[in-house]
Amino acid sequence: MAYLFWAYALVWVGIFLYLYGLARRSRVLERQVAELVERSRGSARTQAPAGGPRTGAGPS
Amino acid sequence: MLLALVGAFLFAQTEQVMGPIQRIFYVHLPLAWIGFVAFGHACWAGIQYLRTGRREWDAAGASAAEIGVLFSTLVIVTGSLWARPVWGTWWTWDPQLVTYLILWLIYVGYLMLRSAAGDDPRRARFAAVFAIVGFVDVPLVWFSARYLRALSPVIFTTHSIGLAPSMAQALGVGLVAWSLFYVLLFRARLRLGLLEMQVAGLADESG
Repeated sequence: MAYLFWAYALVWVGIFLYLYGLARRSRVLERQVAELVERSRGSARTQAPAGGPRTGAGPS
Repeated sequence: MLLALVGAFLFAQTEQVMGPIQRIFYVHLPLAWIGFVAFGHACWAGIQYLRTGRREWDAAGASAAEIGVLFSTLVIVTGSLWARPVWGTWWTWDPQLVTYLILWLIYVGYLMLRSAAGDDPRRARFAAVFAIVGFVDVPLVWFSARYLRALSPVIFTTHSIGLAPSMAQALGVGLVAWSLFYVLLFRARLRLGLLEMQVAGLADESG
């Protein structure tokens, strides 16, 4: 009976460990997406003054 | 999945020679079957990747192979736990077991290759070829059980299923449950793989 218990227990432990691994990878991915969004916002802010229209900045 | 457990522990009759230990069979065989399906899936994805060059097929192959390795690892573990009380040993160099171990090693090698070789199309091409060549071992496992005097019992023959009706039904429910579980797991893993690919692409673009 002990072998039967361990067989089913190890199958489910293996499955849950794999699912936990997937969830962890998913969290890492979320962090990377948040970093990318932050970086793209930062670069948009620095590019906007150079690329945007200049109104009333110089003599006409 | 709950139905599969009920079938294995409550519905199926106890086998007369092996006793309750035989109930390992209701998880062992479906896992082995789905493991083969997963490796077949990885092989098919490899063929499609080589044909089309689309990265989605590469991600599909990686997802299927990863789940195949998980399931085949569990097959080896449950097989050993079955063999110990029935054959008196954890492992024996039986043709079926050896060919199965080779299959497992091939796809573990496939995953190691993927994780070690960076992220470029050459790696994906090489991995696709590896998955296709590795799948050649699956028919060898299948035939070794039938034609090379393997110790594992042959359940399915062209004439009949060598099981009592309640056992066959419990096995059937287990096969359906684990197949559905594979589909769900594969979809979740593929989605993650595709997202990882997109995020890596965006990270490269943004420097």
